[in-house]
Amino acid sequence: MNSDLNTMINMVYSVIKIYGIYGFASIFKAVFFRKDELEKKVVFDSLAYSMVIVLILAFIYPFISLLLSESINYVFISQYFISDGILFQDIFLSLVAVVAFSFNYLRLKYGLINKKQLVVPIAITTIIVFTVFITAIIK
Amino acid sequence: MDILMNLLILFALTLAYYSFYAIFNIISASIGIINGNYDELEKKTITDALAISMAIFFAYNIIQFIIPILSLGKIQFNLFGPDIYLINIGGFKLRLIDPIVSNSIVISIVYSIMKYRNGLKDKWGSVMPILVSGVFAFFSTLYMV
Repeated sequence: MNSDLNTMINMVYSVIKIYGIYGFASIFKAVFFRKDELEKKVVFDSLAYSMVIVLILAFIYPFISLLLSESINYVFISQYFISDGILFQDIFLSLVAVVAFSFNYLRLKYGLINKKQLVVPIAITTIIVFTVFITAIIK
Repeated sequence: MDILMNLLILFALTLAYYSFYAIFNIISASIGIINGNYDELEKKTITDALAISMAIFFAYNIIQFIIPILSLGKIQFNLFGPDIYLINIGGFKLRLIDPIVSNSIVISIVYSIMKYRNGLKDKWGSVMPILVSGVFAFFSTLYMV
Protein backbone atom coordinates (compact mmCIF):
# COMPACT_ATOMS: atom_id res chain seq x y z
CA MET A 1 0.00 0.00 0.00
CA ASN A 2 2.65 2.44 1.09
CA SER A 3 5.02 1.64 -1.77
CA ASP A 4 2.14 1.83 -4.27
CA LEU A 5 1.28 5.31 -3.02
CA ASN A 6 4.91 6.36 -3.27
CA THR A 7 5.15 5.08 -6.84
CA MET A 8 2.02 6.99 -7.80
CA ILE A 9 3.38 10.19 -6.25
CA ASN A 10 6.72 9.71 -7.99
CA MET A 11 4.92 9.25 -11.31
CA VAL A 12 2.99 12.51 -10.87
CA TYR A 13 6.18 14.36 -9.87
CA SER A 14 8.02 13.05 -12.93
CA VAL A 15 5.21 14.09 -15.27
CA ILE A 16 5.23 17.57 -13.73
CA LYS A 17 9.00 17.91 -14.02
CA ILE A 18 9.33 16.67 -17.58
CA TYR A 19 6.52 19.03 -18.56
CA GLY A 20 8.54 21.74 -16.79
CA ILE A 21 11.47 21.25 -19.16
CA TYR A 22 9.14 21.76 -22.14
CA GLY A 23 7.55 24.76 -20.43
CA PHE A 24 10.90 26.40 -19.73
CA ALA A 25 11.75 26.15 -23.41
CA SER A 26 8.41 27.59 -24.52
CA ILE A 27 8.53 30.52 -22.08
CA PHE A 28 12.17 31.24 -23.02
CA LYS A 29 11.17 31.28 -26.67
CA ALA A 30 8.25 33.61 -26.03
CA VAL A 31 10.30 36.09 -23.99
CA PHE A 32 13.49 36.29 -26.03
CA PHE A 33 12.79 35.13 -29.59
CA ARG A 34 9.32 36.43 -30.46
CA LYS A 35 8.15 39.97 -31.06
CA ASP A 36 4.54 39.37 -30.08
CA GLU A 37 3.39 41.93 -27.49
CA LEU A 38 0.34 39.88 -26.50
CA GLU A 39 2.50 36.86 -25.69
CA LYS A 40 4.75 38.96 -23.46
CA LYS A 41 1.69 40.26 -21.62
CA VAL A 42 0.48 36.67 -21.28
CA VAL A 43 3.81 35.70 -19.65
CA PHE A 44 3.30 38.38 -16.99
CA ASP A 45 -0.32 37.33 -16.42
CA SER A 46 0.61 33.68 -16.16
CA LEU A 47 3.09 34.54 -13.37
CA ALA A 48 0.19 36.02 -11.37
CA TYR A 49 -2.09 33.04 -12.09
CA SER A 50 0.59 30.55 -11.05
CA MET A 51 1.22 32.44 -7.80
CA VAL A 52 -2.47 31.96 -6.99
CA ILE A 53 -2.18 28.23 -7.79
CA VAL A 54 0.91 27.96 -5.56
CA LEU A 55 -0.94 29.67 -2.71
CA ILE A 56 -3.92 27.32 -3.01
CA LEU A 57 -1.65 24.25 -3.06
CA ALA A 58 0.27 25.54 -0.05
CA PHE A 59 -3.05 26.02 1.74
CA ILE A 60 -4.23 22.47 0.92
CA TYR A 61 -0.94 20.70 1.69
CA PRO A 62 -1.10 20.56 5.54
CA PHE A 63 -4.63 19.13 5.45
CA ILE A 64 -3.56 16.40 3.01
CA SER A 65 -0.60 15.49 5.19
CA LEU A 66 -2.89 15.39 8.24
CA LEU A 67 -5.40 13.14 6.44
CA LEU A 68 -2.78 10.71 5.15
CA SER A 69 -0.96 10.82 8.52
CA GLU A 70 2.42 10.33 6.93
CA SER A 71 4.97 12.74 5.59
CA ILE A 72 4.39 13.30 1.91
CA ASN A 73 6.52 15.89 0.22
CA TYR A 74 5.09 19.29 -0.41
CA VAL A 75 3.81 19.19 -3.96
CA PHE A 76 6.60 21.30 -5.34
CA ILE A 77 9.53 19.76 -3.53
CA SER A 78 11.49 16.63 -4.04
CA GLN A 79 14.46 16.48 -1.74
CA TYR A 80 17.27 14.09 -2.43
CA PHE A 81 20.70 13.66 -0.96
CA ILE A 82 23.80 13.44 -3.07
CA SER A 83 27.02 12.24 -1.40
CA ASP A 84 28.25 13.86 1.85
CA GLY A 85 24.82 15.06 2.88
CA ILE A 86 24.41 17.76 0.26
CA LEU A 87 20.67 18.33 0.09
CA PHE A 88 19.09 19.32 -3.20
CA GLN A 89 15.68 20.86 -3.14
CA ASP A 90 14.42 20.75 -6.65
CA ILE A 91 11.40 23.06 -6.74
CA PHE A 92 12.48 24.98 -9.80
CA LEU A 93 11.23 22.67 -12.55
CA SER A 94 7.86 22.09 -10.91
CA LEU A 95 7.35 25.83 -10.48
CA VAL A 96 8.23 26.32 -14.15
CA ALA A 97 5.70 23.59 -14.97
CA VAL A 98 2.93 25.45 -13.15
CA VAL A 99 3.82 28.72 -14.88
CA ALA A 100 4.00 26.96 -18.24
CA PHE A 101 0.61 25.34 -17.78
CA SER A 102 -1.06 28.65 -16.94
CA PHE A 103 0.87 30.29 -19.81
CA ASN A 104 -0.42 27.77 -22.32
CA TYR A 105 -3.93 27.94 -20.87
CA LEU A 106 -3.99 31.73 -21.25
CA ARG A 107 -2.60 31.46 -24.79
CA LEU A 108 -5.46 29.08 -25.58
CA LYS A 109 -7.90 31.56 -24.07
CA TYR A 110 -6.57 34.45 -26.18
CA GLY A 111 -6.52 32.27 -29.31
CA LEU A 112 -2.76 32.17 -29.83
CA ILE A 113 -2.70 28.36 -29.97
CA ASN A 114 -5.35 25.70 -30.48
CA LYS A 115 -6.46 22.99 -28.09
CA LYS A 116 -4.28 20.29 -29.65
CA GLN A 117 -1.10 22.23 -28.88
CA LEU A 118 -2.09 22.45 -25.21
CA VAL A 119 -2.91 18.77 -24.79
CA VAL A 120 -0.22 17.04 -26.88
CA PRO A 121 2.87 17.88 -24.71
CA ILE A 122 1.07 16.72 -21.55
CA ALA A 123 0.01 13.49 -23.27
CA ILE A 124 3.53 12.84 -24.55
CA THR A 125 5.09 13.35 -21.09
CA THR A 126 2.54 11.10 -19.39
CA ILE A 127 3.11 8.37 -21.99
CA ILE A 128 6.90 8.57 -21.54
CA VAL A 129 6.70 8.49 -17.73
CA PHE A 130 4.18 5.63 -17.68
CA THR A 131 6.22 3.46 -20.01
CA VAL A 132 9.40 4.08 -17.98
CA PHE A 133 7.70 3.31 -14.66
CA ILE A 134 5.84 0.24 -15.98
CA THR A 135 9.01 -1.26 -17.45
CA ALA A 136 10.77 -0.64 -14.11
CA ILE A 137 7.91 -2.33 -12.20
CA ILE A 138 7.79 -5.35 -14.53
CA LYS A 139 11.53 -5.90 -14.23
CA MET B 1 28.56 35.39 16.42
CA ASP B 2 26.29 35.98 19.41
CA ILE B 3 25.25 39.38 18.07
CA LEU B 4 24.62 37.82 14.65
CA MET B 5 22.35 35.18 16.16
CA ASN B 6 20.43 37.83 18.12
CA LEU B 7 19.94 39.85 14.96
CA LEU B 8 18.73 36.74 13.13
CA ILE B 9 16.25 36.03 15.91
CA LEU B 10 15.06 39.65 15.75
CA PHE B 11 14.63 39.38 11.97
CA ALA B 12 12.74 36.10 12.20
CA LEU B 13 10.45 37.41 14.95
CA THR B 14 9.75 40.53 12.90
CA LEU B 15 8.70 38.35 9.98
CA ALA B 16 6.62 36.19 12.31
CA TYR B 17 4.70 39.17 13.67
CA TYR B 18 4.38 40.60 10.16
CA SER B 19 2.87 37.33 8.93
CA PHE B 20 -0.33 37.98 10.92
CA TYR B 21 -0.81 41.23 9.01
CA ALA B 22 0.22 39.57 5.73
CA ILE B 23 -2.28 36.73 5.91
CA PHE B 24 -5.07 39.14 6.89
CA ASN B 25 -4.04 41.43 4.02
CA ILE B 26 -4.21 38.65 1.43
CA ILE B 27 -7.54 37.31 2.73
CA SER B 28 -9.08 40.78 2.59
CA ALA B 29 -7.72 41.35 -0.93
CA SER B 30 -9.15 38.06 -2.20
CA ILE B 31 -12.53 38.76 -0.57
CA GLY B 32 -12.52 42.18 -2.24
CA ILE B 33 -11.77 40.61 -5.64
CA ILE B 34 -14.53 38.02 -5.21
CA ASN B 35 -17.07 40.68 -4.20
CA GLY B 36 -15.96 42.99 -7.00
CA ASN B 37 -15.13 45.96 -4.78
CA TYR B 38 -11.99 46.94 -6.65
CA ASP B 39 -11.58 49.21 -9.65
CA GLU B 40 -9.14 48.66 -12.53
CA LEU B 41 -6.09 50.23 -10.89
CA GLU B 42 -6.48 48.20 -7.70
CA LYS B 43 -6.94 44.97 -9.69
CA LYS B 44 -3.85 45.76 -11.76
CA THR B 45 -1.90 46.43 -8.55
CA ILE B 46 -2.86 43.03 -7.18
CA THR B 47 -1.94 41.12 -10.36
CA ASP B 48 1.36 43.03 -10.58
CA ALA B 49 2.14 42.15 -6.98
CA LEU B 50 1.37 38.47 -7.59
CA ALA B 51 3.50 38.34 -10.74
CA ILE B 52 6.48 40.14 -9.18
CA SER B 53 6.38 37.93 -6.10
CA MET B 54 6.32 34.86 -8.36
CA ALA B 55 9.42 36.23 -10.11
CA ILE B 56 11.09 36.72 -6.71
CA PHE B 57 10.12 33.15 -5.87
CA PHE B 58 11.86 31.96 -9.07
CA ALA B 59 15.05 33.88 -8.31
CA TYR B 60 15.02 32.51 -4.78
CA ASN B 61 14.66 28.96 -6.06
CA ILE B 62 17.62 29.30 -8.41
CA ILE B 63 19.73 30.59 -5.48
CA GLN B 64 18.47 27.75 -3.31
CA PHE B 65 19.53 25.28 -5.94
CA ILE B 66 23.01 26.74 -6.46
CA ILE B 67 24.24 27.73 -2.97
CA PRO B 68 24.26 24.22 -1.38
CA ILE B 69 26.38 23.01 -4.30
CA LEU B 70 28.90 25.84 -3.94
CA SER B 71 29.16 25.67 -0.14
CA LEU B 72 29.23 21.83 -0.11
CA GLY B 73 26.10 21.55 1.99
CA LYS B 74 27.19 23.82 4.83
CA ILE B 75 24.69 26.57 4.13
CA GLN B 76 21.17 25.49 3.23
CA PHE B 77 18.03 27.51 2.68
CA ASN B 78 14.50 26.28 3.02
CA LEU B 79 12.12 29.20 3.29
CA PHE B 80 9.15 27.79 1.39
CA GLY B 81 9.38 24.07 1.97
CA PRO B 82 7.88 21.48 4.34
CA ASP B 83 10.74 21.27 6.85
CA ILE B 84 10.64 24.95 7.30
CA TYR B 85 13.49 26.72 8.86
CA LEU B 86 14.24 30.27 7.91
CA ILE B 87 17.98 29.82 7.66
CA ASN B 88 20.49 27.16 8.65
CA ILE B 89 24.11 28.06 9.34
CA GLY B 90 26.12 25.15 10.65
CA GLY B 91 23.19 23.47 12.41
CA PHE B 92 21.57 26.60 13.82
CA LYS B 93 17.98 26.64 12.62
CA LEU B 94 15.17 29.15 12.87
CA ARG B 95 11.77 27.71 12.13
CA LEU B 96 8.72 29.19 10.47
CA ILE B 97 5.33 27.50 10.39
CA ASP B 98 4.07 26.78 6.92
CA PRO B 99 4.73 27.48 3.22
CA ILE B 100 1.63 29.64 3.02
CA VAL B 101 2.98 31.95 5.74
CA SER B 102 6.25 32.62 3.98
CA ASN B 103 4.54 32.99 0.60
CA SER B 104 2.05 35.48 1.98
CA ILE B 105 4.83 37.50 3.66
CA VAL B 106 6.56 37.96 0.29
CA ILE B 107 3.30 38.79 -1.52
CA SER B 108 2.23 41.26 1.14
CA ILE B 109 5.53 43.16 1.13
CA VAL B 110 5.49 43.45 -2.67
CA TYR B 111 1.80 44.41 -2.60
CA SER B 112 2.36 47.27 -0.17
CA ILE B 113 5.29 48.54 -2.27
CA MET B 114 3.15 48.43 -5.43
CA LYS B 115 0.31 50.21 -3.61
CA TYR B 116 2.70 52.98 -2.59
CA ARG B 117 4.04 53.30 -6.13
CA ASN B 118 0.57 53.50 -7.65
CA GLY B 119 -0.49 56.13 -5.14
CA LEU B 120 -3.12 54.06 -3.35
CA LYS B 121 -1.35 54.37 -0.02
CA ASP B 122 0.88 56.96 1.64
CA LYS B 123 4.40 56.29 2.85
CA TRP B 124 3.53 56.01 6.53
CA GLY B 125 0.73 53.50 5.89
CA SER B 126 2.95 51.17 3.90
CA VAL B 127 5.89 51.26 6.35
CA MET B 128 3.87 51.08 9.57
CA PRO B 129 3.01 47.32 9.72
CA ILE B 130 6.69 46.34 9.43
CA LEU B 131 7.68 49.00 11.98
CA VAL B 132 5.07 47.82 14.47
CA SER B 133 6.07 44.17 14.07
CA GLY B 134 9.73 45.19 14.47
CA VAL B 135 8.93 46.95 17.75
CA PHE B 136 6.98 43.90 18.97
CA ALA B 137 9.90 41.64 18.02
CA PHE B 138 12.37 43.91 19.84
CA PHE B 139 10.38 43.78 23.08
CA SER B 140 9.92 40.02 22.70
CA THR B 141 13.69 39.54 22.50
CA LEU B 142 14.07 41.65 25.67
CA TYR B 143 11.73 39.27 27.48
CA MET B 144 13.55 36.22 26.05
CA VAL B 145 16.86 37.43 27.55
